[in-house]
Order: sequence, then C-alpha cells, then structure tokens
Amino acid sequence: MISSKYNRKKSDNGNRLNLVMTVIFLLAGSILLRLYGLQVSKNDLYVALASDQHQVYNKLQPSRGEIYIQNSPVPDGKDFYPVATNKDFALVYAIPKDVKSPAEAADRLYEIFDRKNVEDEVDKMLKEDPYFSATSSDGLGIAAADIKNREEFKAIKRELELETRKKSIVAAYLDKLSKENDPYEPIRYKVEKETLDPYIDELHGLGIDHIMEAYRYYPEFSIGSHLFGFVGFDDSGKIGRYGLENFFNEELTGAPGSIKAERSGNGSLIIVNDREFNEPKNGSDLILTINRSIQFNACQKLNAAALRHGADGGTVIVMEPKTGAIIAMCSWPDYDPNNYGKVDDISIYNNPAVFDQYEPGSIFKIFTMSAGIDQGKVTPESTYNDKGSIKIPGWSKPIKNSDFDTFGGHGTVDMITVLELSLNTGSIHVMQRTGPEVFADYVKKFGFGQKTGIELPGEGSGNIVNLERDVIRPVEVATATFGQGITVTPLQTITAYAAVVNGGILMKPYVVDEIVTSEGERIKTQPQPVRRVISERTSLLLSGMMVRVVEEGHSTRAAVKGYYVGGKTGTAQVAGSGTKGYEAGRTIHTFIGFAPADDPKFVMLVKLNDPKDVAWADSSTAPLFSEIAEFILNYYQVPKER
Amino acid sequence: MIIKDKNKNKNYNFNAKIFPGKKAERSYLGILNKFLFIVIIINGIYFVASVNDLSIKGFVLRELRLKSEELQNNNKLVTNKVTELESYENIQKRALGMNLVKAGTIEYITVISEAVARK
Repeated sequence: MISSKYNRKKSDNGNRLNLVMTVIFLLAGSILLRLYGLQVSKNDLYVALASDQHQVYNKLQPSRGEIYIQNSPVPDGKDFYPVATNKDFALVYAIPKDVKSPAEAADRLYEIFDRKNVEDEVDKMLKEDPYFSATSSDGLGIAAADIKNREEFKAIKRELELETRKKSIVAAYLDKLSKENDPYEPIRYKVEKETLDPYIDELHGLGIDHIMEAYRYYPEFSIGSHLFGFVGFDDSGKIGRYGLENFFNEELTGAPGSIKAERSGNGSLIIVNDREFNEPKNGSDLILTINRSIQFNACQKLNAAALRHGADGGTVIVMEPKTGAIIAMCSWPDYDPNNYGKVDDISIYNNPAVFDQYEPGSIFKIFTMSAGIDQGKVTPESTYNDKGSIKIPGWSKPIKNSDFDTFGGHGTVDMITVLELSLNTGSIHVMQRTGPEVFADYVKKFGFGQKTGIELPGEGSGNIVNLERDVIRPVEVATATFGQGITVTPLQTITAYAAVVNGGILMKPYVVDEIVTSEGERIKTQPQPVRRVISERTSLLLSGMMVRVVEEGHSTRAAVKGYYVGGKTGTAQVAGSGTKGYEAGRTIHTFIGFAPADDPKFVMLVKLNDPKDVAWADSSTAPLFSEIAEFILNYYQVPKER
Repeated sequence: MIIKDKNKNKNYNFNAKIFPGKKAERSYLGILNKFLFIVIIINGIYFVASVNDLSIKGFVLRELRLKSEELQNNNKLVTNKVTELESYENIQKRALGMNLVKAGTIEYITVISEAVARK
C-alpha cells in the first residue's frame, strides 16, 4: 500500500512536471516561431526600416575647378591670377514661425541690406534728372525764383523717394515674415560674409538665420566676360554657360563622391562601424594663354573707344603670331558674370570674337596680295593702270575705288600703292593675274569658310560660298578680293593674318595653355601648325608692304612712335538684314596690324561696329590699335627700333 | 560487501595499476581549463580596451578633420580676399581717390659705347 501510494504520488508528480514542461515547450516554440517570422520572413522590411533610421547616404559635391590667366609678361609657369574662382556667400533665410516681431525684423533687414543701395540709386536718379542738374533757367523755361528753391525741393523729393522705396521693400519683407507656421522663407541670396558678420547675433534674435553656399566668383567682373562665360543652373544643378565655363564644363565640374555610414542615437556618425566613403574628384583647373595686364588694358580701351565713337559694338583680339596663342580677347558691350541675370538681351552672352560673321572689307586685300605674290604673278613693284573703276563681265555697274569720286583714277601705280591707297581696282587686278580658282584656293588655305577649332563654343565658320562654286562668277570673286560678298569671323581673320606675318604658317589658335587635374597631372597644349599657306619670302614682302601702309598710307594713325608697325584698315559696308544690297550709312571699321615689324611679338585685330562720328577706319580703329600696341610694346619692354 | 569493498579497493588498486595516468589527466584538464579561462578574460579585456581606444581615436580623428576643414575654409577666405584686393577693377577704384599721377610716355635712354667716364 505504501508503495502504490508512493507510486501514485510519483506518477502525479510526473504528470504535473510533464504539463509544466509542455507549457514551457509551447511557449518557447511560439517565441521561436515569432523570432523566425521577424528575422527571416520579414527580414528585408525591418532592415529597410532600420537603415532609414540609422543609415546616412549623402552625395558629396566636388569643388569646381578654377580658371587662371598669366600674370607676368614672360609666362613662367608660376605667376597666375584667378579669373574664375569659388567663393562662399550667405543665403539669409527666416523661420517665420519663430519671428516674434515681423515689423521690427523687416525694418532691420531693410536697414542692413537695402538702405545704402536705395540711397545711392535715388542720388543717382536726382543727379541725372535734367531739372536738378540744369545750371540756368533759360533752357528749361522755369522762373528764376524757382531756381532758389530747387535745392530745397531736391531734398524733399529725395526724402519722398527714399520713403516710397523703403515702404515697398519693407512690405515685401513683411509679407514673407508674417506667414504663420511657415518653417522657411528665403530672404536674400549671395550675401557677402563681411556684410553679414556684424549682424549675425542680432538677426538670430529676430528669427533670421543663414547658411553658407558656394558660388562662382569672377573678381575682374566684366573684363573678359565673353571669354570666360558664367555658371548657371539647370535641372541637374550647376552648369557652365557660354565661354570656357561651358566648353570645359565636364573638366571643371569633376565627379561627385558619396558617403554611406550609420548614425548613432544622438545623430552623429558611428566612426568605428562599416562605412563606404567615395572621395569626390574635384574639377580640373584651366590655365589660359591670356595675359592679365594686356587683357585689362585692351578691354578698357575698347570700352572707352566704343562709347566715344558711339559704336554699336566692338572687338579686340591680340594673338602671338608664331604660336597662335590668344593673349587678349575682348568684346563690347560686355556683362558682369557675377550678375549674369541682369542683362537686357541674352544675345550679349555670345562671344562676338568667334560668333559674329561680317564682311571684312579692305583688310582682305592683304590675302589677295599674298596669293598674287606667292604665285609669282605680281611683285611689290609690279604696276598697272588704275582708272578708278573697272568693268566686270556679267555685271552692269563698274566697281569703283572708295576715293573715285574725289580722285578718279590714280594712273600707273605699283602694288605697294594699291595697299597704301586701298585701291579696289588693284586687288581685282591681282586676282585676275593670279586666276579666280587659284585665288579661291588661297582663301580656303588661309582658313576662311571653316572653323578654326578654338576651345570656345558658338564659333562661326563664315561664308565663302561665292568662291566654292564649280564655276565662280566674275563679279563675286572680284568683290571678294576686297572683302565684300563673303563673311568671316574676327578670329578667322586674325588667324589668317598671323600666317601672313609669321613666315607663312597657319597656326591653330588656342586659349587654354594647360589643364591641371585635381591629382596634379598637367596637360600642356602645344602650338599646332595647320599648314603652310605662303612662302617665307612672300611673308617678308607682305610685312614690308604693310609697314609702308602705316608709314605712308591710310593707316598713319596706327603708328607707334619709335617702332615699325605694319597693318591695314578696312571700312566695310553692312549688308541689309532682310533686304538686298547694303544699308546706307552703316559701316564696320577694322584695323589689323602687328609690331615690331622685324620680329612680331603680337598681331592685333580691332573692330568697331558702326561708329557714328567718323566715316573711315583710319579715324576709329587705327588710333585704338596704336594705343593698345604702345601699351603692349612697353609691357613686353621691346626696345625701340628708331 | 567485503568483497565489494575489497573489490572497491581492488578496483581502485586495479585502476591505479591498469590506468596509472587518470589522476594526472584530471589535473592536466584542470590546469588547461584554468589557463583557457585566464586567456578568455585577458582577450576580453584586450577587446574592450582596443574598441575603446579605436572609438577615442575616431573622435580625435573627427576633431582633427573638422579643424582641418576649418583651416581650409579660413585659407580659402583669405585667398579670396587677396584675389579681390588684387583685382585691377578694385585697384583702379581705390587709385581714383589717391591723386596718383598717370605714367606718361616712356623714353628709353640709349647707352653709347663712347659715353664712358675716363678719369
């Protein structure tokens, strides 16, 4: 009995134990099942949720490459000046929901950012107002007594203007700052750090903050703006527009990097954990062939001359004839790439030096003469009988010299006189001796009708279709000899001219001397000869003839005291837009020259579109050439020849 | 029982005769266990110490990187300021108010070989 009771008790205990163990087993099993469900079945979901909370992925923007120009007369590979660089500016923004007093904040913003500009604008407006700047009452018909009160009236008007403008600006600020529950409102872009620094704490107290952003900065403002271009925005972000910024956009931009890491509870990156870091590849720098002093001087003088003559536009190109390196390239009107949006017409962004196609006029006689002398058909001493005009087969009207109405025919003249007096009949005579097809061939060999291949966007190829026909029409080839009926770009003209004075080799023009990658690799541009166009002897003879043109011909105002300078003027008519023939009274003036004559350090093309006060290029572009040439010769310390 | 005891004794004696190293094995195992335990403790301490050191170095590295970035930014600010001041446009604006005399025509002096002081 004792044993059966013992055995029953033993059996009861065993059952309870089994029950407990079963319960525990079931619990454990359910936990395992749940774990399986979380960690295996829904693994991807929870990994994604966790990475969203803890993982950080950021694209790292590279730094844009800079553009440098030469800062010494002799390029030494060390002295450069940055003309396009990167600078941090502040973006000032407001957190409207934190702005306790919008009126006070709007007032302070006006005081800090706008007051001085508004005052300068109003003062300028009053200064330009003829009523306030008039010195006598007669011209305006106002009573003498009113003149005495003019200063008082000016002060009252000034106050009224300032008040009106202030109200308008403050109202605009108030509109932004009064938006309730708005977490962000941009107030002002591109603010100089120096302007902002004294007011940071004060603005912070008013609910206004700032972040620093990198912008492209051009320290020389409008000087060379057509050449450099600017950095604008599109859907993908910052992009170079026009000029070198556009042509070399890929090289200057570089490649973005990335960082993938995990974030800790307080938001900082966990250093010791796994992370992926791809360093951004910064953009390459460009070192140009442009000389800083010559560029600045040429651009300033061009701007002044264009305004003085009332020209619609102008271009100056300076080139090293032996290499094709561009030393200066300016055009007017220009723009400030730091504020590229503030232009009236976007066509101003195009670089006229490579984009504009125009009829060159009498400067083309140089190339006509080169062809004739190179072929041995004429020499500088060859003569012909100039009657002042010449009849061309298939054309009813005779082609006249520009001075026919004054001088008529010049009689027996040599080829030097043809260039000195710029005789159209002489250039036609040379072409007729050379042969139209041979002349056309020389025009193509000089590079006209095709792009030069310079590293700038928007280059025009010009138009010499008249000379490319299977059967060239006599009148078309005749007018082409003095640069009418064909179109060229200023860059093509100076490139061809360089071939005339450098011994006869056509060089490819270039403006980028070196590309320096972010790794330090330097890719140097070597001068590239394209082909020989004329012989060295022809080049020498033409150079001498052009010196005579400056010494005794129509280009005496291009002379530089103490030096032998060669060159040629051109006063071309402007083709009518949409109408046949040429526009009356409109001309394009060009002067192309080189110095010093025995060993040219530079060739220069100066062009002014439609100057209003003078009729001929020898009064507009020739003196401008002389001014810039004198500066360049002094800058290079070229000893005087006489 | 006596037999068992005897056997026990015999067993022991028997074991001692047939397996002479068992007592020694147990002592070897014991030593090994203690050794492994100590190694685990030391490795554990080393692991914690190295992770700690790495974390500290990570923070130091971060601080140095921040400082380097700050210095680079300051350097860039100064460089940009120099560029601005060296800009010809700015120099010209500042020169306007300085009453400077513009350089005129440059005359070169030609040195003639005879023009040498003799006494």
